[in-house]
This record gives sequence, structure tokens and C-alpha cells, in this order.
Amino acid sequence: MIALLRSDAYRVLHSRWIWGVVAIVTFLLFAPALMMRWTSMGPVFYDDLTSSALAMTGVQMLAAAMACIVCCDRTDIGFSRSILSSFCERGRTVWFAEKCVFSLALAAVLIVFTFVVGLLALLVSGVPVANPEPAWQVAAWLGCMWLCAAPYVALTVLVAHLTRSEGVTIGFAVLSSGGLLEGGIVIGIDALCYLAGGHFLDFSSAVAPWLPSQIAGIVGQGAAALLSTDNAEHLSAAVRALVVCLPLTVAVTAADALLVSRRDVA
Amino acid sequence: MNVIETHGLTKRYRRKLAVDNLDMTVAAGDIYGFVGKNGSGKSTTMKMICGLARPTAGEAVLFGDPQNGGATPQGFSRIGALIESPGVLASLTARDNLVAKALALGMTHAGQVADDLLGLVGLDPTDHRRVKAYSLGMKQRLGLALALLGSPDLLLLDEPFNGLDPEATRAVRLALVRLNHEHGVTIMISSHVLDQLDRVATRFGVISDGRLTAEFTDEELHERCGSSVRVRLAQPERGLALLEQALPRAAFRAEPDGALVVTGVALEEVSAACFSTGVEVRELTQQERDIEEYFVELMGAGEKDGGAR
Repeated sequence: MIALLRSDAYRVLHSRWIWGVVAIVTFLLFAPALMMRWTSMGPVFYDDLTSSALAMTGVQMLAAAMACIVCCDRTDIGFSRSILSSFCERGRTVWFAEKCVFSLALAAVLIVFTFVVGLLALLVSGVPVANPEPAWQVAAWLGCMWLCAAPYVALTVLVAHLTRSEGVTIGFAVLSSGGLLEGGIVIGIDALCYLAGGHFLDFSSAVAPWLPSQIAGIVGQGAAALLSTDNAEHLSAAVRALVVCLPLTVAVTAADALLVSRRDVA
Repeated sequence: MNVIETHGLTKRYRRKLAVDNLDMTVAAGDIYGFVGKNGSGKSTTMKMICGLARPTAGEAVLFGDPQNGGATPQGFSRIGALIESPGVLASLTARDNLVAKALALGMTHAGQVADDLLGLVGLDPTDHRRVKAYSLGMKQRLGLALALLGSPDLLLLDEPFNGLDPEATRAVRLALVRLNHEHGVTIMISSHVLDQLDRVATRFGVISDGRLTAEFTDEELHERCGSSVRVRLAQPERGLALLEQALPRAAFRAEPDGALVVTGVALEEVSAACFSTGVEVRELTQQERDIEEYFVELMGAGEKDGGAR
């Protein structure tokens, strides 16, 4: 596994797209900060770090898209074939699991990188933060951001391995991490419940607090909202993220390793 | 020891039977030429052998080990494969491709290994161009280098001569022979380039419509193709009658252009018979049966047999 992770890290670091992502993220974070500094048109101060100062929306979607690129390099199937032919059966299972693990690690690196660049951009903008959260809250917030991205990343890898289609996988990555797929499925089940004689939206109102996209929405509101238990379930979004996203990610990774590895590679 | 032994190996894709009950053996040290038309099941057979595709029925026993296929204690197979297209990452350099695979195989000194292999296949380790700028032949060479990573004991090469210019073809051919002779690597090559295959292979297998129609050694191939003597006479009818009397062991066949093809006797015997009978000779040459023609016959034979399936 470690050897495979090193190999993928080498492959990604020597690709151009990763530096494209770095450049885009840096530009998107620094451009508004520089504008604020030069034009003095920004806010007088930010309330806190996680809800207002650091804009990290869209990180889940970017992480899923990166997982798609990692698993769907246009000629990757041939390269994978070359590597997989050098592995025995168990090695192939590990190879599939490693793709999930690497994509999840890449998502973590992306989140940390975005956070660090965001902090630097905040310093450049010169806008003060009135009540910065303690470090543990910021760490919990970053951890939950990764937890919310994890199921989408793992599902994207699974779809990539199942379909072997870049188009389908990138479509899935965008739709799922944007919450559209979940919303569509839930509304579809609602419609079926209604047709079966139930009440429309009963299902969606029951499951909504547990949907990864909903939890991700709360993470976007900052560390305070994330850790708050002031809701109908009396459970913080952080706990719900642990209960929902972690098992889902593990299950998808296991399915990818144990089931997809049993298919013909090509 | 047999490096590859397949027993009733079968692969069915929905309605298409790609490989049908295939029994083949490749002994250690063989360079096995695997010949067949497009879609005859060559690549599918190779994919099943190296574990990239699962057989619908039957099994492929590698290195005499039905359980682990002779895998190393580290869990690596002893196979290097170049199947269908050269599996290269186009956005990386050739060296980066090799280092990425070497790291995946847990090799130390991955850079040194990559440089050595690039040299072996005739690519420049200091070439910083990305692989997408390479010609098909260069990609093919890189694919071969990737297959050679990890010093495999068995190489499976699917159309390794595709897209290579004559110089590169020769270089790859010589590299394969050297690997076989000096390092004892068993090689299985499928190729349409029969003259190249004939120069390297020590055994042949012919697959047609998913079934192995013939297996023979290089010596058997040349015996079967055999040599014949082509003789053009001033008076063909009279000359044929005289030669038939003088050479009772020989078989004669008339060519459309009036020449006679004599088989079963040596050139010297035909020459002596012509001289002793006083037959006037205008042309006397030794000719080999075209190996390509022989393979086409074998491939066609399988198709006729398979028509009833």
C-alpha cells in the first residue's frame, strides 16, 4: 500500500494538472484579498475564521473532481494494466483500495492547502478577525470538512472503476458533491412514498439531517454551527458526520477493493 | 518445467465465445510465438494468463503453482505484460512512467532502474519530452520497458513490433533474444509480423476462433514448410517424363508459368538427374515454402472447423 501511495504521489506531482489546481486555488483566494487590500472595499472586520474569513466552499466538489482525474487519466487503464499484471490477486485488491485511500489523502491535502493559502490571503487582505476560534475548533472544522468530502471522493473512485468513463465519472463527481444526486434520489423516494399512499416529503424530512450534503452545508456555516447541538436531533453536525460519512466511506472503499477488483481489468 | 499450462481455458463475453477450451503449454526458456487473426482470442488468452481477465471456465497454471501462480513472497507476480496498447501515462516523461511503476513495485533506486531500462530499449533517459509527443514506436519501446520492470521471469507481449521502424524492430527483437538467452526469461509473443516472429520464436501456437489449432517447434515448422526445387525446362513435358523416371522418390507439381516444383529431393539430385538425362535446364532454384502461407492455412483450418459451433 505504501509503495502504491508513493507511486501515485510521484505520478500526481509530476503531472501538470495538479499544478493547475494549485494555481487556480491560489488565484481564487488571493485575488479577492489583493482587491480588498488595494481598493479598501472589503469588510471592516470578520466575525470569526471559519464562518466568514475563510471561504472554503466548493472544496468537496474540487476533491471529487481530483479523484476523478487520478482514476481516469486518459491512458491510465493501460498503465494500470501494466502494474496490475505485476501483482497477484491480493495485490490487485490492495491496488483498488489504494486508489480510494490516495484520493482521500489528496482531498485532505487539498483542504489543508486551501486553509493555509486562505490564511495567507487573509493576512494579505489586512482585514482583522474579531473573534477567531480556538485551534481545536478550527481543527474539528477542517476534519469535518474532510469527512463530508470523503464519501463523494470514495464514490467517485468507485464510479470511475465501475464505468471506466471519464465523462460519466466527472458528471457523477459534480452532481454528487453538489448534493444534486442526493436531492434527486430523496425526492424520487418521496414521490414513490406519495404514490404508495404516504405523505409527500415525509421521507426527505426524516433523512435530511443525516444527508452528507446537508451536513456539509452546516460545516460551511462555521465551527460554531458544526459543534452546536441546538437542533431537532440534539446531535451536533460533527457527530452526524462521523456517524454517516465515515462508515459510508469505509463501505464504499471496501466495495471498491473487494468487488470491483474481481472484475476483468480490461 | 512448464511456465504456462492452461487447462480448458475458456472466456465468454455475453454471447461471444472469445476463447474456447484452450489447452496450451509454454516451457521455461521458450520464446512462444502466438499467432492468430484479429479477434481470434490472442489478447484475451494473454489477459487471462496474467490475471487481467477471469476465465469463464478452466485455469491457467503458472510456474507449476496452481494456487499463487508462482507469486513472490512480497505478493508480486513474476509476469511482465504489454497487452494491446503500450500502457503509458502520456502526460509524464518516459522516465517518470518507469519511476512511477518502479515505486509501485516497491523498488529502491527506482531512478537508476528506469535509466537502465530506457537504455535497454533504446530510449534516451535524459529526454524531457512528455510521452504524448512520442511516436508510436517510441511508446511501444516504453511499453516494453514497463513490462521489463521487476525482472519478470515471464514476458507476455501482445504485438510488440506494432509501429516500429525496421531499426527499432531489430533492436527490440535482439533485446528479446538477449533476455531469453542471458537471463532465461520465458517470452510469449503474439504478432502479425510473422517474419519477425519466425526469427525469434522457438515454439509456435496457432489460435483460430478461440481454439488452439496447432502447436509446434521452430524445427517442426521448417520441416513442415520444407524446401523444394523449382526447375524450368526447355521442353517441360518431355523433361517431366524423364525426371520422373530418374527421381522416383520426388513429387512434381507444375506451376502456371510452366515451371516444375520438385519436392522430396535435394537440389543437387535434381541437377544431377537433369544432367544425366540430357534435359535442357533454363532455371534451377531452391525455394522455401512461404511460412506466412502456412500460418494462413492453419488459421483458416481452425475457422472451417469452428464453423459448426
